[in-house]
Formats: sequence, C-alpha cells, structure tokens
Amino acid sequence: MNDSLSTTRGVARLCAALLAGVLLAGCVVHEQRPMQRIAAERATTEVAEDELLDVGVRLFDPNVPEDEKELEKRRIFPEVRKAESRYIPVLIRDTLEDTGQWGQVRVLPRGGTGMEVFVDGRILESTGSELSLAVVVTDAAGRTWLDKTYEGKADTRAYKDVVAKPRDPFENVYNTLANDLLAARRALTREQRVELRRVADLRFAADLAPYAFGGYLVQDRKGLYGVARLPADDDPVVQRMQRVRERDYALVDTLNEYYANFGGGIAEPYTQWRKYTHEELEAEAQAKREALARQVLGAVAIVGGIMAGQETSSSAGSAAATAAVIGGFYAFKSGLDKRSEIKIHAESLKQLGDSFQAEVQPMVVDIEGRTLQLKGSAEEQYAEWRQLLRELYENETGLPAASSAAVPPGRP
Amino acid sequence: MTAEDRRAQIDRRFDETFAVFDERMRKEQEAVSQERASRGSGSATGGAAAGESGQDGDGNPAGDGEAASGDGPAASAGAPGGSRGEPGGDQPGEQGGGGGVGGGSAGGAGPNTVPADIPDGRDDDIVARQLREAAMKETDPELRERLWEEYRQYKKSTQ
Repeated sequence: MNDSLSTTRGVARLCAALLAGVLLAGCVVHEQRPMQRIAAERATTEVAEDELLDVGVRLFDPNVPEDEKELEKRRIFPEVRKAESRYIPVLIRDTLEDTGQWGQVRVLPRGGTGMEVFVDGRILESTGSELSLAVVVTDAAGRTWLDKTYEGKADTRAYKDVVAKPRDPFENVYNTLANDLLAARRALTREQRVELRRVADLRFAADLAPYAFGGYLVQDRKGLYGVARLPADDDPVVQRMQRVRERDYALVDTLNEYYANFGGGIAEPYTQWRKYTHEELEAEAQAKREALARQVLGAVAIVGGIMAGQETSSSAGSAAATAAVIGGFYAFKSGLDKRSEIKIHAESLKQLGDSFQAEVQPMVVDIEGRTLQLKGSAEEQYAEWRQLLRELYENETGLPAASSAAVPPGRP
Repeated sequence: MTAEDRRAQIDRRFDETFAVFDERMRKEQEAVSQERASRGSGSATGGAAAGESGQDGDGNPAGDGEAASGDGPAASAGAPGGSRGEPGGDQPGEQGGGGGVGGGSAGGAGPNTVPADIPDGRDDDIVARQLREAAMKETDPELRERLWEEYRQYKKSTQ
C-alpha cells in the first residue's frame, strides 16, 4: 500500500514537473532586448587619391531552388529573391559609399568588371526576421579579401517607423561587412593599394587590346596579377584606351543608376513586406510554442489522471483523477486547435509572399530588360572600339596585332 | 595614305562612336533622373539603409539619405564625365526630398487625395494597404469614395 502510494506521488511529482516545464516553455514571452547597433567606420581623414579603391558590388546570386517543394518548404518566393539579389547590393553600396573610405562604389551586373575590388554574394536566407549572406570579396589582382557568411536578426525597431525614419532592419549585417572590408584593405600595404589601381586599369586595357597591353602585366605562381612595367603616357593607343575607359565608367554609372532607381522604388514596399512577414513569423512561432505546451500538458494530465485513478480507492480521489483526465483531454484538444492557428499564419505568410511577388515582378522584369538592352548595345560599341584599337596599334607599330599578343588576361 | 592620315581617320571613327555612345548614356541618365524625380515627389523614402549607418537615426527623414554619396572625405578626387572619382551625385541616398506617403498631391479631390478622417496607414495590414492603394489610384470619385468606405469598414473590423 505504501509502495503504491509513493509511486502515485512520484508520478504526480513527475507530472507536475513536466507541467511546469511545458507551461514555462509555452507561456514565456519572447521579448528581444534592443539590438545593439553596429556602426560602419567612417573616414575621418581624407584617403590619399592614389589609394582610393573603386568597389563593384555585383548582383547577388538569388539562390532559388528549382524544386517546387523546396521553395514551399523554405518559403522562398523566386521573384522576391530576384528583387533582393538586386536590392541587397544597392544597400551594400550605399553603406560603403557612406563611409567615405572608398572611391567609386557601384552596383554591377553579374560578371561586371573594371573596378579594383569586387563584392559577390549569395543569399542563403532572407526573411523579415533573419538575413544570411555568403559574401566573397576579391580584388583585380586576384586576391581573396573575404570569404565569409554574414548573418543577423532583424532590428525590429526599424519596422516601427518605416515611413518617417527609413532604415534597413539588417543594417548591422551591412555595417559589419563594411568594417571587414575596411580591415582587409588596411591589411594591404600602401604600395599594394597603389599597384592594385594600376593592375585594374591594365587588366581593363589588356582585355580590349591584349596585343598592346598584355605585356605590362605579370602573374606570379599563385596567379596574382602584378605590374611588369607601365606604358608611356603619350602612347596614342594608351590615350585612346583612356577615352574608352571613361566610356566604360559612364556605362557602369548608368547601370548603377538603374539599380539605384530600382532600390529607391522597392525600398518602402520591401520593408513593409518584411515587417508583416516578421510579425507573422513571430505569431506562428508563438502559436507553435503554445500548441506544444497545451498538447503536452493535456497528455501529462491524462496519463497522470489515469494512473492516479488506478491507485486511489477513495471516491474523492477517483473524482479528482477523472477531472484530471477530462481537463487533460480539453487541454490536448485546445493544443490541436492551436495547430489550426499555425496553419492560418502559414497561409498568411504565403499570401503576403504571393502578393509582394506580384508587386515586384514587373519591377524586376523592367530592370532586367533595360540592363540587357543597354549592355547589348554597349557590347556592340566595345566590339567596334576593339577593332579601332587594333587598327591603331597596327598603324602605330607596323606589327600585326594578333602576333603581338602577350598574356591574355581575362578581365577581373 | 600616310600613317598620320590613317591615325586621323581612325580618330574620326573613334570620335563618331564616342559621340553616339555619349548621347545614348546621356539620354539613359536623363530618363533615370526623371523617373527618380517623379517618384521622389510622392514619397519621402528611398535608399532605406543609406546615409544612416551607425547613426542614431534621429535626423529628419529627408536628410537621412543625404550623406550617402560623394560627400565623404574620399570623394574629392572628382573628374567629370563619369570617370574615376566623380562625385556620385544622384544616388538613392539623395532621394529623400519629397513629401510623406500620401502627400503626393495637395488639395482637391483627385486620385491620391486622402480624406481627412483616414489614418496615416502605418499599421495597415496587407488588405488595408491594398484598399488604400486602390482608393488612391482610383480616378472615378464615386468609386474612390466607395473604396475609402471599404477601407474605413475594414480598419474598424480589425481594431
């Protein structure tokens, strides 16, 4: 008798402990402390002109899985991702430009060239609550500056006043990247930075006229580019090349304007969408916690009630055990009901995604079309300039351009 | 033909192609500027992350983006024509000059006019936002008022 009583008490204690744990887990309010803001280091003194490095932030890889089920499971909306793959580089560009630590910072198409430093990235995760980016930073000489995953949670304060004080909820991610980029630049010597600019110029020139400029570049055993010697400033081919280079900057500027304009158009609706998504994700997580808590609580009460009912001989004890079983049943059922609430949040998230996707799709199509059109017509011009440079070179040197080709370096 | 003549001939072709290219770029940039200007007159946003990094965010809304381009110490190496060091003028950080949302047109009862009793829409959910946008775009006054009424009813039901 004593043994059975102690068993019953033990079961009761166990049930109570489980209940307490589950209740705590289910009822805890997940309140976030205000996120500490990371500042991007801004230039306090003027950076020497010959050390100013131009940065090209290429469009990111949207990382959209082909499998429909995978898209649904990971809640990826392809058109939204495509928009993000264009918008995130705009935000990075703005952040870098704002520091005053760099020369020109431009958003480039995928495979864009002509700058000294290149930022490439892949979107690993992007919701209203979290952002994760795989970022690789390289330079025109072929060095890898950074190869790192940047992730962060949304600073929800940014969602509170979207209109009056617009700022990105993942500003910390971009500012951290900006600071890492600066640290990587500082790790180079002044001579390396100065040479990097020359290498970038020569790689641009060698891409258009390898027979004339290839010989000015060398590659070491690791494949890094360096300057072998510099061309004479009064060389007619160099002078025309400089004029072509100015047009290349103009093309990059124009494309950059497209992206900046796209960024300006998408900023507000995108932030709103992320805000709503964040709210739905939070509500869904809360509903999941509560559903679990109720179901476990119900199950524990049922088991406890049954066991207590078997052990007790008094009518009061029997009534209490029955009440526990009934109470447990209702708790379990309310947990199941809570599950339907989770489905509602999941459906809301889908609706939000579909709606925003429909909103951004024309914007993405527009910028994609315009970029392709401009690049296409620019390519025709570049082909003509290649031909003119070749003719000029042959005229100046009396040598056939093809046989004079030295290192044929691909553009960075 | 001498080498000098040939060089002059090549230079002329360079000049012609440069002129065509420059004109194309000028037109493109002009078109982009116009688009930006038309958007800027209706909204105070743009360049959401620009101009504020590391700041406390307490500046006025229109000014938040102004520091984004070219005015840092590094931007002094300018050269005209889009070449290296040119101050990066018209970037999104500068787009914040317009009015607030819904402030695109003043007075009258045309589209975009928000009735006085309509709240600012900051806490709109997606349905409310779509109703608001539809009402603001609607040119038919009767239909527009019906859409605003729908909006009011919906807002009431969600409060």
